[in-house]
Formats: sequence, C-alpha cells, structure tokens
Amino acid sequence: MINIDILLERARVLLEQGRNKDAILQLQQALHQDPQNDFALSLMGRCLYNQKKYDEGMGFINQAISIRADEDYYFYLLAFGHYYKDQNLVAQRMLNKAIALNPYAADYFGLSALICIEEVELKDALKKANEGLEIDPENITCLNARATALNKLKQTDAAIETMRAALEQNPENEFTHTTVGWNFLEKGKHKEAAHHFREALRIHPNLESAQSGLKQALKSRIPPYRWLLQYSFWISNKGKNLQWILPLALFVLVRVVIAVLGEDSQLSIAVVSVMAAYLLFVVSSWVINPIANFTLLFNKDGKYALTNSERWSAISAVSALVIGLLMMLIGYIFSSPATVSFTDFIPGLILFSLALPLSNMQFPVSFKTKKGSGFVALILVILGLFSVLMLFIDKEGASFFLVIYFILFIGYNWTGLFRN
Amino acid sequence: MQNESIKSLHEALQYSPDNVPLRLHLAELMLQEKMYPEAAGQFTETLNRSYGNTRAQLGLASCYYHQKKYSAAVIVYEQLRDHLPQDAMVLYIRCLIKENSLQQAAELYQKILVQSPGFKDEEIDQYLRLPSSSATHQDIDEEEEMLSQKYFMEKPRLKFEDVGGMKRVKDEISLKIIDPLKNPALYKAYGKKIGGGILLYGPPGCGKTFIAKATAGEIDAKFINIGLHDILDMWVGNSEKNLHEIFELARKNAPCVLFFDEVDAIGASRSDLRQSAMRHVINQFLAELDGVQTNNEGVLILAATNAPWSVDAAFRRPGRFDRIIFVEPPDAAAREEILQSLLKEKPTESIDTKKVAEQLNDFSGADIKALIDLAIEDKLREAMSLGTIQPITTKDLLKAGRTQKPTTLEWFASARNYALYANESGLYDEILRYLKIKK
Ligand SMILES: Nc1ncnc2c1ncn2[C@@H]1O[C@H](COP(=O)(O)OP(=O)(O)O)[C@@H](O)[C@H]1O
Ligand SMILES: [Mg+2]
Repeated sequence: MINIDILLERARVLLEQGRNKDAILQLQQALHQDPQNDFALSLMGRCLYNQKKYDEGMGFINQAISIRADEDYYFYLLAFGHYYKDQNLVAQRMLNKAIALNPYAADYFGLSALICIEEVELKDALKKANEGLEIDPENITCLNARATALNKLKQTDAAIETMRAALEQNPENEFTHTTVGWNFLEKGKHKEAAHHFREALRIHPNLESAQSGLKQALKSRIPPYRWLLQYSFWISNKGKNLQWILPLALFVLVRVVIAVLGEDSQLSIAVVSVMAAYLLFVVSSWVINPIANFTLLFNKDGKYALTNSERWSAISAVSALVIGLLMMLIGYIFSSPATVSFTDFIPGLILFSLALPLSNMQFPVSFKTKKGSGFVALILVILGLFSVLMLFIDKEGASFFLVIYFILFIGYNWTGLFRN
Repeated sequence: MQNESIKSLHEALQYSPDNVPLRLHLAELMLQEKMYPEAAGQFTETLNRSYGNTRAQLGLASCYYHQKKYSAAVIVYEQLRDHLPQDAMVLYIRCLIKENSLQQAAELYQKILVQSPGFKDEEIDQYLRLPSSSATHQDIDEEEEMLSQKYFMEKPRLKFEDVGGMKRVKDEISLKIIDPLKNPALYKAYGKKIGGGILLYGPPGCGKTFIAKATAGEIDAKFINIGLHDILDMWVGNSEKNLHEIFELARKNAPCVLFFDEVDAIGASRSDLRQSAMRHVINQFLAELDGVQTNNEGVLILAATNAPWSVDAAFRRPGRFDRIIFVEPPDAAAREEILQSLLKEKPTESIDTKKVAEQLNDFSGADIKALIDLAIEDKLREAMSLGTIQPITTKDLLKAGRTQKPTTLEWFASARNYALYANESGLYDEILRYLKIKK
C-alpha cells in the first residue's frame, strides 16, 4: 500500500499541472485509506472545480470543513464555488469567515473585491482591494480588482497607474492583461483592448474571458457596435437589474401617462416617442450583433473567434437583410410610380424582418432546442418564408398567414425585451 | 468416479433446476474435468439464476481462458477486478498478455509481486520480466535485474505492421532513429551525427505509446516505458527512481528504446514555488539527454505528450527532441486498418470494415478499441442468455459507434487555441493544417 502522504503529494503536483483526472485517481486511493483526510477532500474539491463540477466540488469542501472547521482556506475554497455559481451573497459570507480565521491572506480580500465589482458595489470593492494590497502590495488579484473598480468609478488615472503597476509586477500574467483589456474596452479603446487580449491569449490560449474580450474588441471596430457595447457597460454599471427593469418601467410609465392625460396630450406623445425610440434601439441592437459578427468573418483572427452557431446566425441574418432590401428595391424600380403601393414591398419587408429571429437562433437548426424562444424563432422563420411564397401564388390566402406572422413577430420581440 | 458424480448431479438438477449451490458444484466439477464448454454452460446457467455470483463468474472466466477466448475472459475479470484471488489474477494476466495489453498486465503483476514477492510464473515472466540471466551472461547482475523490474523493461513483440495507419510517423521514426541505428558506419562515414530524440504529440488515444512500443518491437530492441508516475515520483519525495539510473539501464541494454510518456510532466508546473526542485529534475534530464557523461549510442529516445505547450522549451533544442511529430487521429483508411487489427482474433461475421470506418470520423484508436469492447459486451450478454457464441456483425459495430463518442474533439478544442494564439515558432502548424485553418 502506498503511503498516503505520497499519494497526496502526487495529487497536489498533478493538480498543479492541470491533470485533474490523474489527480482524482490518486485522491480516491488516499480517501480509500483515510476517508476523513480533510486535505485530500479539499484537493478533490479543487480538482472538481477545475472540471467545472462546482456542486460536487463544494460537497467535498464542505466535508473537509466538517472535519476541520478552523481552516480558513477551506472557507475561501467554498466561497470560490459559490462565486462561480453566482451565489455572491453566500460567497461573501464564506469569505468573511475565512478572513475572520486568518486576516492576513490578500487573496481573500481580492476575491471579495471581485464579487463586490460583480454586484456593482464599487466603493466596497475598492476598499477590499486596498485592504488586500496593504497585506501584500504585489497581489495580482487585488491589483486587478482595484484597477477595475477605479475604472468603473471613472478614476481613470488611478486605474491606469494600478494597471501599470500590475503589469510591471508580472508582464506575463494573463489575468492582468485580460483585466487591462476589459478596462480599455470599457473606455472605448478597442485597439488597445485587442492588444492586451491577444497578449493574454498568447500566454494562456484557453482563457475564456480573454477570448470573449478579443471578440468584443474586434467587433467594436464597427461604430454602431461600439456604441452598443458602451451602452451595455453603462447599464450593467447601473446595477444588476436595470436591464430588466427599464423596459418594464417605461411600459408602465406609458400606460400611466396615457391613462391620466389621455392619448393626445403632449407629454403622452413625448413618452410614447421615448418608448418607441427605446424599442427601436433595443430591436436594432439585436441585429447589430450578427452584423458585427458578419464583419468578423473577414478578419484574420475574428474568423476563428466565432462559434459555428454564431457564424451561421450572422450569415443567415445578413442574407435576410440584404435580400429583403434588394427585393424592396426591385419592387420599387419595376412598378410604375403611379401604381406603386405598400403591398409591393411586403415580401421584401418580411424577409428583412426575418433577420431578427435568425440572429437569435441556434445553428445547426433543430426542433429539439431547449430554449423556448429558439423554437418560436424557428417557427417564425418558416412561417415568414411560407407567407412570402404564398404572396406569389395566392395573394388572398397569403393574408391569413401574414397576420399570424405579424402577431407572432410582435409577441416574439416584445418578450425579447425581457429575455436576456 | 468423477464422471459418476457429474452424472448424478446432472440428474439431481433436473428436479431442482434452481438449486444454485448444486449447479455451481456441478460446474466446478466439470471445470476440473476439463469439460470447458459444458462447464461454461453451467456457469452461465448459474449466473442466469443468481446474477453477479462471483464464484460462477470466476469459473466462467476460467472456462473462457481454457477455451482461448481471452477477450471474453478479460471482460469478466475486469468486472471482478478488485476481488480477484491470486490464481484468477494469474489467469487474468495471461489473458491480458495474449490480448497484447502488456502495460495493464504488468501493473497487475506488480500487485501480485507486492503481495507475494517470491511469486513466479514462467509464462508471465517470459513477457513481463526480462531474464537478465541469459546463457551468455553468467554473472547475474542482481541490481540490474531489480531495476529492469522496477521500470518494467520488456521486449515487445509488437511490430509496425500491427499499428494501423500512421505512415508518416513510421517513416519519420525509421529515417531519424532506426536507420542510423542499423547503419552506424554509413552515418559516421558522412560525418552525420547520430542522436537526438523524437517527441510525439497529439490527442490522447491515437497511438503515441503504441507506436513507441512497436518501434522497439520493429528493431527487436528492449523497451523501457517511463510513465507519468515514474516522472512524478522523481520529485515527490520517495525518489529512489532517478533519472541517471534509468538512462544507465537503457545504455546497458542497448539496443533499447527509452520512452518517456507524458514527458510534459517533467517541469510542467504552473506554480513558481517549486521551481528549484523542478529545475533540478529538468537539468538532470537534459544532461542525460545530451549524454554528457556517457554515450547514448544504441539508445533510441522517444517521448510523447498530449500537451506539447507544457513541454519545457529547452527540450526542443537541437540534439535533444529535435524532431517533433504530430500524431493525428486516424483517417478512414487507417481506421479500417485499426478495426481489422483489433478484430483479428475475435468471432466475427464478414464485417464491412470500410463502412464502419467511414462512420467513425474523429475517433481515436483508443475510441475504436472502446467501441469494439462495447459491442463485445453486448454480444457477451446475448451469448450468456442464448448459451451460444454470437459472432460480431457490422450492425453491432455501427450501433456501438453511435453510442461511443469520439474523445479527440475535446483535445482539438483546446489545441486549436494554442495553434491560433501561441504559435510563435510555427510549432503547431500541423494542428492548423489538420483543422484546415489558414493563417
Ligand atoms: N494506429 C493504431 N493502430 C492500432 N491500435 C491503435 C492505434 N492507435 C491506438 N490504438 C489502440 O489504442 C490504444 C491507446 O493508444 P495509446 O498509444 O495509448 O494512445 P496515446 O499514447 O496516443 O494516448 C492502444 O493501446 C491501441 O490498442
Ligand atoms: Mg499514451
């Protein structure tokens, strides 16, 4: 039988090398010998975290804690699990316990600061990061958290200073480059952002936050997308729920104002126009994304940053837009000015509108999609194409499908306001 | 005498067919009497009535062994893996040897040796322990014997022809290390330096370890396989295993293929904390590779890794692992070869290997092996309930192919990003080519 210390040391090294499966095998042997070995349990938890099995991992960490309740690091690990599961409140509570047991670990403050940033408690985040940096002025997590908090608090100079310090500390740290990239992106400097994301990916090609950052930076080269991104940064800095509350609040406002003042008052008209502008903005933002993705197809790096689904969604949505526009144009050119009527544009308009459901669809297309909205989108596309076809065969019969399409289309987009 | 009791037991069972102990007794008697097919039938019957009965399973496996149905026996033993008595273990190991699963066999053998150090079994020893006391060597070098056991030195029978596909890899290995070994004079005449190793990389299960072993078999050389655990133990405290002693063993046994599996483990640590301990192992490894103190002549050095990006850059300098070969998943033709070689000694019925191979895009050699195991398990269950051997058909394999998913995709998902973002010296061009990405 192999000595348990050797098993644990092997597991530790394997875990460090990222060989989670091999580490787990060693740990299973160790736990077979001593099921109550809290160190083995905690290592097991970390392996499972690395495999993104957070619930299972937390199970092991909890077991370790039940054996040794005075080990601060275990609470830190537990906090990590909750953080990944977006249970930020519990995560903070666990971190407080860890800090109470050991107030001298800078990493605990760093994680706490990152969670505060996610909760848009920026002042708290800054405070935590600074506390951590008092313990260890070179702590990378705290430096990154501080830079991000300062950036979001619009203290740009201090943020840049912190980022420079972090990069000087360790120019080969992928997390620092990623943070710097996101901070630049938030400032609208997409070129600088792309540079740092590339650096991060050179060091750690599979770092997801750097991958998505690079994608955003490349898409930001088209101005409408850049504005959209600025808007989404702005709204997410205003608080977690605003994105969801804003359309609802606007809607209620419109109803109230109309009910009180009647449809014709000036204020009503103003409020309705704001609502309409907002709707137009949101709806167009849905189309801007596939268009931006489409431009990536012609970019050396961008081409490979897209997933297959995004690629096909972009191609089909842009095709719908272009073909729809062309059809409307042709309809206009070939009908004599005297007889031109709205109905000549309907087929083109429908194809044009299909860009919306297409940009939200998963590819390859499947009827067994898990998302309900994906299913409706698919139905919309089929119905739309079908009614266009009908328009050329049997104009009278087509109107029935057109009405259904129209109702479904409105419903689909209205609920879309609350979907993401 | 025995026949008498078999007969009477048989009769007794007519009256109480559900009497499990009675039937077991009968089956075991039959086994003693070498009536293997009959015994197998009775064991199967027993299992039908008492599912999972260990004694019956052991008996059945033993029947399979004597009937030379090794793969069937292996499957049964595998299920009982942790509860095998020593005699069953011996049979299991022999089956594994017949199935050419030498590494697994060696691992189990080591287990037996740990429990009873004096254990000997000629048939097994022939394959797994290399008798260093051949006729010419009168003086037995005990220490060397011990070492060769520790590192499982073996003499593989595997040849290049047993490895499906991989033509390019075979050519490279021949050119770079086999030819120089066979014609050293020629190379010397032209002043061409011999030496340096080959680093194989690629997704798991695509035959890196397999071809390393076949390289040894191909040139009738010995094979030393240094695996993840040996490497790990070099810097995990109990490091009796030391690099110098490994290279010495290889040199003494030249011609010899010295293979480092998962070589990235030497030094692939993310934390800087252990840098010094690690550096030490890396430096020692490099020194041995360069053959500073001694000559590495006659020692072919191969290494393999699934994570070439974690391999210390110093390993790739000229004279070290200066040939780096991408071992890609088998193409359709290679998959067909692999299927054929894996199905060679199994009961089959005119299998359309081409059709099956075409269905197995992205499958690794190991995936194909797993798929065949899956099909066999199904057949075995069928055979147990029907009482006769059912041949494997094309349909069975296609069905298994739909259940078994290829494992190489996960590797490529990660490797792709290295090739896209960290391909500074063109190291991963072959990955890009394979993925049809133009940069
Ligand atoms: N080209 C091949 N021909 C025959 N069998 C293969 C081939 N490639 C893989 N296999 C089978 O798959 C098993 C696993 O392959 P292995 O060499 O261990 O993969 P790797 O070392 O690349 O991870 C081998 O033992 C062998 O049975
Ligand atoms: Mg291998």
